[in-house]
Amino acid sequence: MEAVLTRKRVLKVCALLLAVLLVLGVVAVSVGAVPIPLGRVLRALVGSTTALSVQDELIVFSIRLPRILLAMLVGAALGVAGAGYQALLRNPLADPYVLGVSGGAALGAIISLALAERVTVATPVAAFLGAALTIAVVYFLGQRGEQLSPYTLLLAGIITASFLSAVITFLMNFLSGRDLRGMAFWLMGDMSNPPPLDLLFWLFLLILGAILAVFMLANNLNLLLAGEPEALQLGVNVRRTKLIVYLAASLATGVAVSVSGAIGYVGLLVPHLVRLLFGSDYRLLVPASALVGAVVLLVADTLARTVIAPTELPVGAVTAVVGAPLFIYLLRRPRFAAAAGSKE
Amino acid sequence: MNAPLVRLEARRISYTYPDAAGRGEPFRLQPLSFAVHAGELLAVVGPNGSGKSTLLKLVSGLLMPETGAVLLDGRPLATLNLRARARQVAVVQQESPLFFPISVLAFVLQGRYTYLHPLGFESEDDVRIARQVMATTRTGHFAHRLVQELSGGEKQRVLLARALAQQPKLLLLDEPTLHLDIAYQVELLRLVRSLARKEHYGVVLVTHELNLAGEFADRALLLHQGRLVRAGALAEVFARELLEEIFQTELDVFIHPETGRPRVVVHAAAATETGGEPPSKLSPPQ
Amino acid sequence: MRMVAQRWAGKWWAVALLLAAMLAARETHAQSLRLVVDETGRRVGVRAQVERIVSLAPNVTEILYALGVDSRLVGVSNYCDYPPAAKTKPQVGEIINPSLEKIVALKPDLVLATTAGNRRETVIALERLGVAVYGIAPGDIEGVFRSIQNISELLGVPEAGAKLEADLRAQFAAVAARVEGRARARVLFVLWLEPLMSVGRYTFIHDVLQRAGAESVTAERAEDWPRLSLEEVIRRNPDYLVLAHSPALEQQLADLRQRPAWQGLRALEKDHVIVLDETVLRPGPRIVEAVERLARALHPEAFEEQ
Repeated sequence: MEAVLTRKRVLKVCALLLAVLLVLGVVAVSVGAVPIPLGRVLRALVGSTTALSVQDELIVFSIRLPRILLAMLVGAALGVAGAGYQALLRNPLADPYVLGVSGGAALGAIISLALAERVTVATPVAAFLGAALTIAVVYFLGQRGEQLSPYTLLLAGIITASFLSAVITFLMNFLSGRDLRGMAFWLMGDMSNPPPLDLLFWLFLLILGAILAVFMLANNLNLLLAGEPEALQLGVNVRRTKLIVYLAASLATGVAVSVSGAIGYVGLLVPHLVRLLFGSDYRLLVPASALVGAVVLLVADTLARTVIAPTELPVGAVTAVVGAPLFIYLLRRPRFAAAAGSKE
Repeated sequence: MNAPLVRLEARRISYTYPDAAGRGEPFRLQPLSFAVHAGELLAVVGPNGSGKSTLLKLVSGLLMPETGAVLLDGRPLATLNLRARARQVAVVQQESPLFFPISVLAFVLQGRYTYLHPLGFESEDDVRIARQVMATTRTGHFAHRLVQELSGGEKQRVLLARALAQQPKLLLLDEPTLHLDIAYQVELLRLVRSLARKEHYGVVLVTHELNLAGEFADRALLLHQGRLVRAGALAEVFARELLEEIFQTELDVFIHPETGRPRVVVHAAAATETGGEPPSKLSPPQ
Repeated sequence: MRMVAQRWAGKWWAVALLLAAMLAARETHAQSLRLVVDETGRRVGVRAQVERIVSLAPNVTEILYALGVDSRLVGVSNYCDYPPAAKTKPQVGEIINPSLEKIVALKPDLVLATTAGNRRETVIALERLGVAVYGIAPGDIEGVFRSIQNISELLGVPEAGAKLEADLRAQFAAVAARVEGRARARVLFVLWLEPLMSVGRYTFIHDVLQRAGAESVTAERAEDWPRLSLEEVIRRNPDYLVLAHSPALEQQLADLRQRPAWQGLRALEKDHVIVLDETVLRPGPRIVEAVERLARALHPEAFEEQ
C-alpha cells in the first residue's frame, strides 16, 4: 500500500473528501430540532426564494448554515494544527492544546467576561489575544540555541498550560458570584454561537492561510520526523520550518478556540485517522486532516444538536464520548504500536 | 596523470563548545587541516572524547568552524546554501527514533529532497535513482516494508541508500558499524569502499574500531583530546608506541604480509605482570 | 427578481445576507414597534400587540401564568414545570442553551429571558436573528415586583400585574406582621454543600431570609455566592441551617451529620435544619410561599392561631 505518493493521488483523495464534506454539509443543513423537508432545503440552497417559509429560511440560512460552516472551519483548523504539532514535537500524542494556546484563549475569555459584562463581541477577540500572547511566551520559552527544540517546547507548553489552568481556576473562584455560566460552556466547546457570515469569511481566510503554510512545508515535516540533524543534512531549513509550523498551527488553534471554545479529541485523533486511511506522508496528511477534521466536527456538532433535540449537547461531550474509545482502538492497532514503540 | 580530485579540504578548522556543563574547561577541537581525495576512504580514529564527532559535524556543516574553512570540491562550505550542501555531502549516522510508520522506499526517497522543488512530488527519475541505490545496497527487496521492522544491519544499509540517493560527492559515516554483526560490518564497509572507487566519492569514516579502519581505509587521522596527533598513511598512524600512548593500553601492531594492512592486537595480561614496562609519556605533536 | 436570485445562487453567503436583511426589514415594517429598555439595559423593539410569547426560564413562566396570559405562551424551557399545565407547552430546550431553531420556528413576538438562568450569548444570538428578547433581572423581591410590572405592561395587562403585585404584597405584609418585633433567627443558607457556598447580601435569597425574620450569617458578603470554609461556619455558629431541596440532599445531609467537623454546630445538635422546596430558588410569584414556610419554621409561635 505504501506506494510513492503522487500529486494525482493527493488530488483524488482530496476531491473524494471534499465531496463527502459537501454531501454531509447538505444533510446537516436539512436536519435539526425543527424538521424541514430536504427537498425544500435543496431548492432554497440553489436560489429559490419560495421554497421555504420565512422562519424556515431564517433557520436554514441564519442558524444552521453559519453553525455548519463554523464546524467545518474549526474542524479543519484543529485537524491541521494537530498534525502540525505532532510533527513539530515529534510526538504522536500531541494535540493542538498541549502548548497552552487554549489556556491562553480561555484566560482571555474569562477576563473579558468578568470585565465587560455588557459586551459579548469582545470575548472572542480577548480570547484570541490571550492565545496570541501565550503563543509568544511559549515560543520564547521553547527556544534552545536560537531555535525551537521539541523537547523544550513541549515542556514550556505543558508548564504554561498548567499555569494558565491554575489562574483560570483561581479567577473562576474569585469571580464565583458573577455570571460565568457562559464561561463554563465555552470551556467545554460551544458551537451554539457562530459568528455572522461576513466574519466567518475572514476566519476562513485566516485558517486557510495557516493550513496552506503548513501544507507548503509538508515534505519538510516528513524529513523532520526522521530526525533534525538528518533533515538538516538532507537539505531542509529546519529552523525556519519549525518556526513557521509552530506559528501557523498555533494561530489556527487560537482562532478556532476563540470562536468555539476548546473542543477536544479532534486535533489529536484526526491526523491518526488520516494516517490509518491514507498513510503518513504529510503532503497528503495535511490537506486530508483539514477535510477529515471538517467532516468529523460537522458530524459531531450535528449529532450534538439533533440527538436529544431540543436539548443541545455540548459538542465537546460528543467528541469525547466518540473520541476516547476510538483512541483506545487506534492505540492497539499494530502499526500504531510499532511506530510508537520503535526505538530499537 | 591527473592528480585525484580533492573532494574535501579542511584548512585549520577548530571549534569550541560553548558550555562545559560544569566540567571546567569547555571542550575544544584544536585547529587542524587535512584533505580527502575522490575515491579515497579516510578513517578518523581516536578514543572517546577525542573530537571525532565534532570533526564530522564541522565537515558536514552541522557546526560552523571557529577558525579556518571547509572546502568541498574547492568551494567553501559556508557559501553553499542548505540544498546545495545536501547535494555535495551526505551523512550516514545513528538512526533517530521514528515515530510514524514509513516504508523503506519512502525513506530512501527522502534523499532526493534537494532535487524536488517545494511542494514537489518525486518524479520517475527520482524513483529510478532510489531503486538503483537500493539495488546497490541490496535493500531493494524490502522496498515496501516499514523501516521500523528492519534489523540493525538492514537499517544501516537503508541509511546508506538514503545517503547515496542524494548523489553526493562526499560521504561521511559516523560509527556506522556500532550495532552490527561482524558480517554486516564487513559487508557495509566493502560496499562503501567499492562505491568510493567506482563513483569517485570521498569517504570519511569515523570509527573507534581500529581494525576496521586498518582494513578498509586508505589513510587515517588520529585524534586525541581535541588535537590531530597523526595524519597520513596507515603505517604512519598505526605506530605501536603512538597507539599505546593514546589509548593507554598495551598492544601490538602486526602488518599483514600480503595486504600490508595493519592489525592491532591487544594483550590479555598486562606487561607489568610479566615484567615489562608500562607505556611512556606522549610526545608533543609536530 | 427570480433571475437575480439565480445569478446570486452561487454566492450563497451573499444570498443569506440578503435574506437576513430582507427579513429584518420585513419584521420592522410589519407593525409599529415600541422601543423599550429591558431590565439589563438593552434596547428592544417590541410589537404593540404581543400574541406569541416564548419563556426561557421557569420563574418567567410562573409569572406569565400568574398574569393569566398563558394562552399566548407558545414555548417554554425544559424546566418550566409549574403550573403543571406548563409542561404541555412546546419545549425549546435547556435554560442555558435553548435551541435557536425551535424558538424561531415558533414565530414569537417576544422572548422573555432572565439573568437568573439564561446566558447573554443566547440573547444576543436571538437578537441577531431578528427576534425581540426582553430580559428581566430580579435581584431581590422588590425586583420580582418590578419584573411583574414590566412584563404586564409589555403584554398589555397592567391591571393584572397590579393585582398580582397587590396580592403578593399583602401576603408578604401578613408574614411581616407575624414576625415583626421577634428576635431574628441566625441562619446560614447553604446553597451548595461541596464546595460550601452560601448567599451574599445582594441576592434575592438573602431578601427571602430577611422577610422571614431571619438574619443571614453571611450578610456582610458582597459577592452573590460566597464560598465558605467550615471554620467560618463554626465561628459564626448559626442557629439554623436552611437548604433548598434537591434529589441528592437527603443523602448529603446524612453524610454531613456523620462528619466530626460538623458535630460542633449548634444547628445540627438541635436538629435545626430546615429544608425548603425549590421555589426558594425561583424569583417568581411563589417566592412568597417560600418566605412564609421559612417564617413558620423559624418562628412557629408567631403562627399559632389564637
